[in-house]
Amino acid sequence: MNLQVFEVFGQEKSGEPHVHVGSVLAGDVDMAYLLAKEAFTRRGEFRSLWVAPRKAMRKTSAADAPMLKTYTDRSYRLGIGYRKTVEKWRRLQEGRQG
Amino acid sequence: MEDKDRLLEFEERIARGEKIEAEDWMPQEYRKQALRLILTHANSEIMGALPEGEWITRAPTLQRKLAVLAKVQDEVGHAQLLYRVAEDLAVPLGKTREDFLADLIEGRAKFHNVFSYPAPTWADVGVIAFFVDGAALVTQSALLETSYGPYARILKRICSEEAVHLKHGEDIVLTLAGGTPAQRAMLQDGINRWWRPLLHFFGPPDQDSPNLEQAKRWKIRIKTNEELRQQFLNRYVPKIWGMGLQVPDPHIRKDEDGVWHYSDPGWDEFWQVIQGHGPLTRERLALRRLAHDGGQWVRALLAGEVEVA
Ligand SMILES: [Fe+2]
Ligand SMILES: [Fe+2]
Repeated sequence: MNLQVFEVFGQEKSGEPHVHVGSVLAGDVDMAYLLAKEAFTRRGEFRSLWVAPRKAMRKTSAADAPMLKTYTDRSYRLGIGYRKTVEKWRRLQEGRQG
Repeated sequence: MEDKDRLLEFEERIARGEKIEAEDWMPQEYRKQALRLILTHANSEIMGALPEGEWITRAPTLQRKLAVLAKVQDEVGHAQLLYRVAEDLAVPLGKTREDFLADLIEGRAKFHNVFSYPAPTWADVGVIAFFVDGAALVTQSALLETSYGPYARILKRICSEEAVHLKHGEDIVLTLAGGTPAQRAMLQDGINRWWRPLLHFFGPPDQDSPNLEQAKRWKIRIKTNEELRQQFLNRYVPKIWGMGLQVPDPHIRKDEDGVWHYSDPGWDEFWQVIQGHGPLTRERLALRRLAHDGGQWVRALLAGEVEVA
């Protein structure tokens, strides 16, 4: 049969991201959309649906998973890396009072 | 990487509580066991729609008709979601949805014992939705923790809908329980009819369940048959008593340790049913075949194989 897998993404509330909810098998994108509606939102769970052919998507594979890991200290990219500012404020204020 | 090293790494991932995804390496045996579990579930959803489907035209009120119709639609929808998950898992085995559906119709695939039994009265519709869906929810809630990620995710959606089915069944059952003596008698008969199939539903005693240990080690399954059966009894026996009705087992009791004791339901019937010789297995499969064959042109149309003028 002339079917392919479409991944389905649904948005529950305005302003929120579309989240992956599953997949459907369909002949084309319009049929996939209709099937996604029947399969995933019979109770009005989603206000918006996206469907996309799986073969058009690039997904992380086991082979390239290491590419997404961080190997060196990246604390300078994170708020947590600047916690010492609390201590610096304290010392500065003590210095001015004393 | 050697398969031995891969297996080691795989088991470490499971131990860390990581979920396995469809594209990940997994032992052949893990794939087979997970697939068998998911397909039994999928087949049961689609077969489970049939006994209640018989009652859509005979529901006592319009509201009940709408509710039964919606439940049947949900169950078929669950089957669709599960076959989709199974298909991704079965890619390396070269099996597709067409194969799964054919296996079911030809009697080569398993589905839960309960869907081979008749539903002769309206009380059966209530008992199925309250007790059978309740039993299914006990099993499926435990599986929310399964190590196979796509199954765990889709189960969340399924369980939330099953919980509604259960409320719908509870409402039917309570209406009958609070009704005329004839209605109460009909309900009691329904419970009597379904009691043994319900005990069977969770599967044989753990020592007779050959795949259970491995399935638990890989966290494909989380609880044993008996653990699930105990959970069901603990939830439902008090409800039957609470309606002033009888559990059709003179020896049913809960001991001081909270363990339920029940009469051996006998397992010959269970094995018979599972192997395709239940009271209505043939008839229900024939109905499934009728639906499958009748829907062939729709599937062809959906697949774009037919030109619409
Ligand atoms: Fe279901
Ligand atoms: Fe259900």
